[in-house]
Amino acid sequence: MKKILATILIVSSILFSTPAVALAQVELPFGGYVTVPIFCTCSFNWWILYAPFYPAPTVASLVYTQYASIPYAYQTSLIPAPLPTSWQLGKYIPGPQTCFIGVLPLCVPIPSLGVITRVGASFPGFTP
Amino acid sequence: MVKDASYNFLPLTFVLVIFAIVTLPYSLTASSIQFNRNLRMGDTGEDVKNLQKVLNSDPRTVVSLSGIGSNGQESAYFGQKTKSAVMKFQAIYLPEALGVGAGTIAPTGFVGVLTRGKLNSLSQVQNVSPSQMVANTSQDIPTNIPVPSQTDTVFSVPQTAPKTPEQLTAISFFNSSVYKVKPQLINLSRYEAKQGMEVTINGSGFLPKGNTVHFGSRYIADGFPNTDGTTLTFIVPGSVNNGKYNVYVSNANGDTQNILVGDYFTVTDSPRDSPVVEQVSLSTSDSKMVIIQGKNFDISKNTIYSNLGTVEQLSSQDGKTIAISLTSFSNYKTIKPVVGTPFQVPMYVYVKNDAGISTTPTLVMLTF
Repeated sequence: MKKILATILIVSSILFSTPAVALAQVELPFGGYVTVPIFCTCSFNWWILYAPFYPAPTVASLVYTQYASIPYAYQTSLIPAPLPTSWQLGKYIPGPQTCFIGVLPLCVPIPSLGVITRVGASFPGFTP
Repeated sequence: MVKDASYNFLPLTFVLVIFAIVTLPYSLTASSIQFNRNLRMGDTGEDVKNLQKVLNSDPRTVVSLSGIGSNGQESAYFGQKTKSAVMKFQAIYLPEALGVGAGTIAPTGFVGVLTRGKLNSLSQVQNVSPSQMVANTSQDIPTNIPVPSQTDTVFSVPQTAPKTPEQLTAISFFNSSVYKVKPQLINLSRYEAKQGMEVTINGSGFLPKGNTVHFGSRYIADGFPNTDGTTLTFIVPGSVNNGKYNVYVSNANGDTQNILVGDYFTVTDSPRDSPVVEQVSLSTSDSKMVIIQGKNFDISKNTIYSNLGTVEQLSSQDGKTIAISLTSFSNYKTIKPVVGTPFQVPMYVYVKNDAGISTTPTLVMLTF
């Protein structure tokens, strides 16, 4: 009996001690200064360059897609486009690339760090 | 005696333990979730709970980050948080189902036929747990678009290759067949070809069978899709006369014809290859002059596509070099740096002419 229990214990400890692998991506927090928002003419969303961008790296771009990205504060539906010279705080999902520029039938992707899921902005124009 | 008996059962016990462990994940994921009724705010039921589970399995559509409605604490009530999550789901998936751009529809938060279809098809076609569906979606990255090299350690070049909006949604033939996803054309591997040449169309909504490539209204060719319906390959028929054509695709779900595009595809006996950009740098004598080096550039009619803007009618005397001032790009002037903080801006460059467009973005860092 002891051997059975010992066997189960050993097998279980080996199999269940394997670290879990995260299958889903998570939202990451970010903050930054909107240096230039650029409209993606094929995908109808915005490629935003943040400089500085927090946390590292100090410069990065994210994609803002209306309805997929939730705006707060001064990014209301009345002002759907991301505004330059504003500071933003929010969350994003790293990886997916969704900004396409050009004119159909010729669209090409512009790389970015990820897609914004939610973002809030300061009133534009207040720069340090 | 007792010791002997237990020892005899040891192999069987071991096998049972292993069997239970191996089959456990399958037993958990085999029960695919089905949504058989429309759902709206105020509804209650087990399907609402399942809806929240599916939404929570994708970080882009979580119902709540903590408390009721969060992962592991799904409830049977369809409230405002569930509605918001559904709207995010629709913003991601419905453009594909409707064959429109991502910003051209307004999510409603109402789980109707189309949304239920997407939820069900993802569950059935993938035959995996919702969390695995998310993993598959996020990892379904095309490998045919190389990532530009990193030239500056300050700026993080994305480590994943660009994806089309359609590829983000793990599109399948099943969806296209059942929910009539209209085909969509994004670009072609080349815009000049001769009879017998192979050309690949990038897009979405291509069916397993019955895709027809049209050369205007006069000629057709069979199109052969890849496994997920995002590319379509065809051979330019020998019967097609030389000339310019509006190439589009049709199948049982619709067509990609756009008369505003005009005739953009040239069939010719001497087709040129698409432009290739090998290097983009700043001039050593003028820091605002960009030098683009590569091959297959047109002598007089090149267009630069970049995140800083589009500039047309650029010449290249040797077909290998294009020089252009940064001030020609409309977005360059709009860059508003934080006062007193020097930083670098990534500029991604493509070259396009009548023969096609360079397939990969080439990076140059601009200092402000």
